[in-house]
Amino acid sequence: MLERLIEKLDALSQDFEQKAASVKTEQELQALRVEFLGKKGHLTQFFRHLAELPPEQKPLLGQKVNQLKNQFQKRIQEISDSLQNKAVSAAEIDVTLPGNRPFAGRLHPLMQVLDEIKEIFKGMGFTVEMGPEAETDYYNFEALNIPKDHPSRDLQDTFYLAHNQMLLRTHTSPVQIRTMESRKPPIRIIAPGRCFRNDTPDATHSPMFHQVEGLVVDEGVSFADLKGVLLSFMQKLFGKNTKIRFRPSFFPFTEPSAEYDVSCIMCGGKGCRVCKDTGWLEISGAGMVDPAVFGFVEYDAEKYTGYAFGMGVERIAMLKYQIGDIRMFYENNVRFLTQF
Amino acid sequence: MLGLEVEAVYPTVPDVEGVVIGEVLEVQPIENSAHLKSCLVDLGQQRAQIVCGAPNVAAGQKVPVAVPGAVLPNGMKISRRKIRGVLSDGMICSEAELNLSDDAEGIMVLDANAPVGEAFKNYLGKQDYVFELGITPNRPDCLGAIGIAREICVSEGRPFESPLKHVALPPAGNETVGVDILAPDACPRYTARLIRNVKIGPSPKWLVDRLRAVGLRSINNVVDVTNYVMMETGQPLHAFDYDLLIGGRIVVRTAKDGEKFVTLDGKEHTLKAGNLLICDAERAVALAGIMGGENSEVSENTRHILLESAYFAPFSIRKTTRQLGISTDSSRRFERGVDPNGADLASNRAAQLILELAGGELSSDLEDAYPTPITPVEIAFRPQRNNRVLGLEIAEDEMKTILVNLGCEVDDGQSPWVVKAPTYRPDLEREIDLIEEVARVYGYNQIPNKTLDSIHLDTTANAFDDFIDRVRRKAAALTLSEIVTLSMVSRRQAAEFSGSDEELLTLINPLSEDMAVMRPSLFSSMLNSVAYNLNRKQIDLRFFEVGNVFRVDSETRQVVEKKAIGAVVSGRKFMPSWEVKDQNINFFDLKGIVAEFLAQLHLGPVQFVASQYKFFEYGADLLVDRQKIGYIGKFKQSVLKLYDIKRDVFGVEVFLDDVFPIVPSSLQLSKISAFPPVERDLALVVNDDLPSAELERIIREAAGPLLRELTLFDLYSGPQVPENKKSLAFSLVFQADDRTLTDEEVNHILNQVLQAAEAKVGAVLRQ
Repeated sequence: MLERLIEKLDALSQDFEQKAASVKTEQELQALRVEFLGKKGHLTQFFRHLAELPPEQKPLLGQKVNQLKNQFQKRIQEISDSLQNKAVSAAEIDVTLPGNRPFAGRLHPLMQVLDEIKEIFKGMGFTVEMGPEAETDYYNFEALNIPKDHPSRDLQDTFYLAHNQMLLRTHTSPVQIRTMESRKPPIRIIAPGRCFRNDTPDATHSPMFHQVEGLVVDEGVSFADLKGVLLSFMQKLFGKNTKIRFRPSFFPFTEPSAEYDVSCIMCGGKGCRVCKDTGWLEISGAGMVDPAVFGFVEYDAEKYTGYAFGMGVERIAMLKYQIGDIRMFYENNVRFLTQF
Repeated sequence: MLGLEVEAVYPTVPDVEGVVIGEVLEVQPIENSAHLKSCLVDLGQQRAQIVCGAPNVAAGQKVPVAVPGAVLPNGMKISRRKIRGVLSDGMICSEAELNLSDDAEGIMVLDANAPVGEAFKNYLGKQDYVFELGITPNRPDCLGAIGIAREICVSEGRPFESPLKHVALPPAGNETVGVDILAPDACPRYTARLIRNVKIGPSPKWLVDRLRAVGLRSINNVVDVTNYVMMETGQPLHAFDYDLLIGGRIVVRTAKDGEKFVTLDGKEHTLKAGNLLICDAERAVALAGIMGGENSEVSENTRHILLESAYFAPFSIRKTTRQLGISTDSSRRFERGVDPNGADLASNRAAQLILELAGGELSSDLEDAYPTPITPVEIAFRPQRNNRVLGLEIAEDEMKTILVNLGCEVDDGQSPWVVKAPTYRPDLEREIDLIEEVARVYGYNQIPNKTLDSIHLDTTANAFDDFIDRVRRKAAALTLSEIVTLSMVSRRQAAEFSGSDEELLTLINPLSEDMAVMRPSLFSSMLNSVAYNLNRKQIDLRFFEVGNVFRVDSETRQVVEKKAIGAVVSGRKFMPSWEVKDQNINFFDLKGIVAEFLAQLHLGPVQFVASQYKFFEYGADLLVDRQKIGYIGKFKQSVLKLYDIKRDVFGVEVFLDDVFPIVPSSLQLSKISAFPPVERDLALVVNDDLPSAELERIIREAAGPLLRELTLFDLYSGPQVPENKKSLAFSLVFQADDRTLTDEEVNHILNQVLQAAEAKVGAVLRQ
């Protein structure tokens, strides 16, 4: 009986070595462990046979089984070590195969620029205000000192709505009025949003566009403050060497009124194709709030002064990314959007 | 830097190398052509046969001829070629082709004494330059050369004196012209003067050239003078044929409603009550300040003229031009406000030029009807206020010099100063208007740039805007790309997404049918971008947009404008991969994105309840606490057909105005249990029309708070379950915060779940 058991143990050892040699993965190794060393494993069976042997033979077989158990465990440990350390060959895994990319969401370039503008102004203590796009004549024109039949209404081609004599706001300036109506100075706001004008679409015109308008009202606010704020904004947006320039202009809701330009972001003012050799890029209008506007919102024009400015988001985005056609923003061509 | 923007500069003599003066000798029609003619043209050295299509070509004319080899300013190259089988050795040019004006109606006809064979550019004379200025509507004084000259002087710090003050006229005869103003509000001043025995004829070349440079065509010497003086002074003038004025007098009155009048361009207008008319003793002869009448126009036969120089009130002219839809060089000036006290000076200047160019004599003095003279506005001006508004220190005498050079009378002997603004500056009425003038002339760029010296923080104000930005970033993180689409869509597109047509917010004056209605849903415009990209072979589209949607409330009839986020998705589930099988994105992918999106907003449980939509094949309402915050579904083929989309598209729209108030302002974190979770699977067979959400609800309710996760991992219907049944397999995770759960406890809960499911919806455990 003992001899037969020892023979069987030898065969088991051979069988184990054979199977161990072909193990390639942790799973296979685990299977091997269960087959030979598990609760119902081959080797565990022998411990049961021990009970059946005469006492003097027990130590002999027991020694032999334990020896094998140690041998198996050691071998399994070796295989496990080498498996955990193994390097896989290029033939097994080709790491140059393309990865599975996720779809990636992106923000629209125009909105990215708007986000940047908002961040800069928020950093300067401005808060963001919103207002409706379908507006009344009062907020869009009248309270901004643009009475009916005033020639400056010709400057803006307005879309009128077939309802309650409303219109689509031609600028975000109505938000100025709505804000001043709802609270007292100090006021330091920007109003970003969609605006609409009855312009036939071409490379530089769109019936819908985005504007950011700013308004600051307090005691002692001056034209010099307006210049300082716009200069520091433009320097944050376009770089610290940016310069600005003001040219007299006319808007019914500001006085003095100005158009302002920034030094060309391409050539720095030396003159190039982008600035048409002028060294300057037109941005938009600005000025001191006209006392008549304060009259509409019942602010004391003697006590308070204020300034307002506007800027076109499309214009800035087109400059920043050198985009030649405004319509690209609304076509949403994926090949365009994925470049940002 | 004065606010006079130079919009363009161009030469009066364009590059017309290769264009010579020719004389048309013969004109013969070409066979088979209605309007082409073959012309024999003398070019001096040679004669050429040239085909010409202009209606006005005639033998005897002197014309500009571009000979082969010439390149016209518009880039057109001239070469010898055959037209309708007839050889053409050059081209007779129109003014437009030579870049002299926009006139392309016929060929340009030159002076009869233009020398044949000479280069055309010599005929045009000395090179000069035209500056095209953009004049803002508040500056009518700059709508004439004298006003511009004044601005330049001011900018150089020099006083300016108008040359009009030095116009000398010969003594006038003692005839009188009767002028009656019946509408003094609309016409505060009317001057008239009679000039007899003029000789109407062509204008001299200098005058023709100067008018052409500012874009005006020469008519005859008298009409040209009125236009020229308007360009010089900004004061529009009109000349009547005096013999055609019945009764030889002028009456200024307003029209009766429905009155008819024919202007000198031959158009008949039906007038509205209040339109201002210039009349003779019997009938209207001019639409005041806008255009003269056909019945009294100056013509070749005119011998005596009545010269009008008047001040019409801006409100009146503006109303009339709007009502009648006409706008002229004259009306544009009156609308903005000409100088009421300049009418006489302009009339003098015109009279001087008419006498010089058309002869004749002044038969009357200036008849000046000016019942209530308009006096300069007096403005109180505080130099300190000026400096406070501008944020700098300008010396008082510098301010005074600026104002005086602009034409103001300044009394600085009192405080505040009293400043009388000149009447040619109707924009100067208030102190702030004068402050603007000081700033403008001093130089905006001389004003220092002040940095913000106050802190202003209001952290609550940005809440909604911040929320929108947060929402946009979450959408992008959930694989959606932001787009921006037009807020206006076509009526048909809008109608698909609107409850009824009465709810559509429509434009009165849309740019086109495609942009006639404000979008009632973001879908209506976003699908345009889907179509645009599909047409360009881009099929994997996952878009979102934040924007406003519009409707007219059917009960209150108020416009309701809401901020929404919309998403539309189409194409593949995964980016093309060698490893993952191609599969298309479906409703549940979008639903998963939405569920994750809303979960990240911490809105609490969101229900998706099946609902019918006219634009969805199938869809669901999104509910939070029974409040509908949006909807999701698969678009119907019929809707997509409208956009020419042939692929499946899914969409969701969520109203941010409704979501924002229910987003919790702070988070309540739940404890993380230190005890091990217990996982069990449960497969239940139920009727196949039972919504899975209903079964989930029953399970959660029966299981109680120890059930921490419930995940559906398999849905089966087929031969292994009875007919009209389906099997839903869930994985359940149980966990307690204070102890390790025992098998008995978990089994007990599972039993409760089973009993509840069986009792409520007849569910049985799948074997």
